[in-house]
Amino acid sequence: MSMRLLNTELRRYFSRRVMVGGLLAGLFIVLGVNIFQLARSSTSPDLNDALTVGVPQKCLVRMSGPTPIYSGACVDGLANGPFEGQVEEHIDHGGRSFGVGVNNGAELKPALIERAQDRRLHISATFSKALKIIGAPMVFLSILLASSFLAADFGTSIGTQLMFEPRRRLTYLTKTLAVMIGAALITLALAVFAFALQYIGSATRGITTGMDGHWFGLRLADTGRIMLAAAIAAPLGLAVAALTKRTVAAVGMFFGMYIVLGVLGGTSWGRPIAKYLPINSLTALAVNEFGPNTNWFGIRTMLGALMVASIIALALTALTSAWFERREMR
Amino acid sequence: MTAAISIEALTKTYAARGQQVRAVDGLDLEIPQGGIFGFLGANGAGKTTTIRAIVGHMRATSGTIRVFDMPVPKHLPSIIDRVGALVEAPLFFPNFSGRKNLSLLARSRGFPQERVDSVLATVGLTDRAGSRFATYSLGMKQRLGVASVLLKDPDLLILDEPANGLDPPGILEMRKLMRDLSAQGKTVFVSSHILSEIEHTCDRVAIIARGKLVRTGSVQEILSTGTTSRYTVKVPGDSAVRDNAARSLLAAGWSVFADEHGEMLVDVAAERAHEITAHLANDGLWVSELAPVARTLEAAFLELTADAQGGAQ
Repeated sequence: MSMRLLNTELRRYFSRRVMVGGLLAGLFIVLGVNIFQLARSSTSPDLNDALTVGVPQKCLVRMSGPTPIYSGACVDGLANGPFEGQVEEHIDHGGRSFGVGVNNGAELKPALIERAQDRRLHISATFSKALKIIGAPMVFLSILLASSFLAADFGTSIGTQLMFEPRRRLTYLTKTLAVMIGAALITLALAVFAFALQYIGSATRGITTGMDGHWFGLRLADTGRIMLAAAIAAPLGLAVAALTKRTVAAVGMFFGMYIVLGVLGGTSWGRPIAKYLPINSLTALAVNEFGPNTNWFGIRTMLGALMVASIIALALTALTSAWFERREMR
Repeated sequence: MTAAISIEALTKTYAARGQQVRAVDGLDLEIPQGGIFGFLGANGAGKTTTIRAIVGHMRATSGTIRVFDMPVPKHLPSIIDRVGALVEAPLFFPNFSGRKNLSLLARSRGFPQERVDSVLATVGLTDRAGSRFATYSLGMKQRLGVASVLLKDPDLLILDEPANGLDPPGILEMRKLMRDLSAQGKTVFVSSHILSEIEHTCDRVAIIARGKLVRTGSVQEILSTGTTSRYTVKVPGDSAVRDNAARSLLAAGWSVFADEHGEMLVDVAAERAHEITAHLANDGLWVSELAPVARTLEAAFLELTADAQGGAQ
């Protein structure tokens, strides 16, 4: 494959106006995730309403007017301790329920449970979460940027381009490689941007400890995985747009695939089909969720996700390049 | 010397609205190297389909096309740098500037970027080179299309309706450009349905109608084609005398017309022109002038394609 041609296609890919919109959308998502994490960055304790009975005095932290404030850690530690008799009620505290027993028919009393919260931005813990959140949007951004690349060509300059490079299959495959590299580079750029924001946020309003070589290795692997998902998604968007000559068809198809995924996944006969929808494996890859207890049907390993998505992308690229070679330009 | 383009028995059919349309029907054509070759035909005659087949945008249903003696589209990649083509409307990325569009094309073939500015200057687009293609007028788009053709400095230029959208000065510039290129030894293959344009520019022409070759030859050969010529006939005297002469000729079966100035025109085979004077003299009318009217390519074209057009109707 000609490097000169690849270089040209990459320039063409990155020079489009949609790229500005796409990058802005990506930056906005990354920024949104960081702003959310930054807004939650605090060490103040949470107070949760509760109804209690028979909580020993040692757990009392202080009074808020007539309402006792108990230490959450202390109450949690009681677990099955001081309560006797039948458990009547469960009160949820921050996602964790604990039993409040009826002790000899004693009356339930309102109280506040205080739990120490450390939600400070801690890059070594929160960056992997940020990457996980931006993973799936990166897949869609990749599809959008790839599908708009060739669909725009068909209405405009493809005939002129073919007067300079008439080897159509080569032209299509070079465009495919360009959108894959382009998607991976954009994902990398946004991951670096996310890292920069996380570091600045952690340094100013959080904690920056724990960033050792091992951690960097793991985050590089995370980034590489999302880049891979975006890179595999790109030729899918390109192929569908080439076949339909419509960007919106490709984007709509992959968005619609999520709905189909939900419908098929809800049926016993549909689950094996859902497993092989490319968006299933691509999203599993992007968000790093594999195994039977995830939302991604039948995708149990990263290698499995990679294989399913890659085989579909390869098959669709081969089919589309053959069609592109024979297509008449009118 | 091998022909620049050699077409043998080219046929192209395609389906349109459930029917098979034969756009090109057994076309044989040879375009020699050098000079400006005009490709004439009415709208829908098959000019653009032929050009698309030459540049590989369409596959021929049957027949062969050779460019510089290489069969196309199979060997198009090996001769693509020698061929520049502008097929119908020039197509570029609308949101890129003219310069950016050309720059990317140049880069794909490894041409120096200075060449981009050079061709932009040649077509007079330097001032607007930085503007988005979408903002260009039809004429400017056409100029950019021609610039993209010149980018490769090709030996063969294929221009499909290059005067489309150009204003009169632009048409003159285009005509001059084609002549300059021809003077450099390049072959210019230009299709058009504007016959006066072809007549003033081309050395040789081919006329096609309904996908078939009707006639090919030098412009002079085409102009001298036909069985009748038109003559201006003047008789001394007032309009009454002229009317008498016209009535006399009409009565004798001649085809008599009046031009926009009221002058009498008669269609007659060249070898029988003298019979006009003899006939009028017999009626006591003396001819003061009997001059052939210069024949236009348009007249020749209409006469040559009359059968095909009639068949089409």
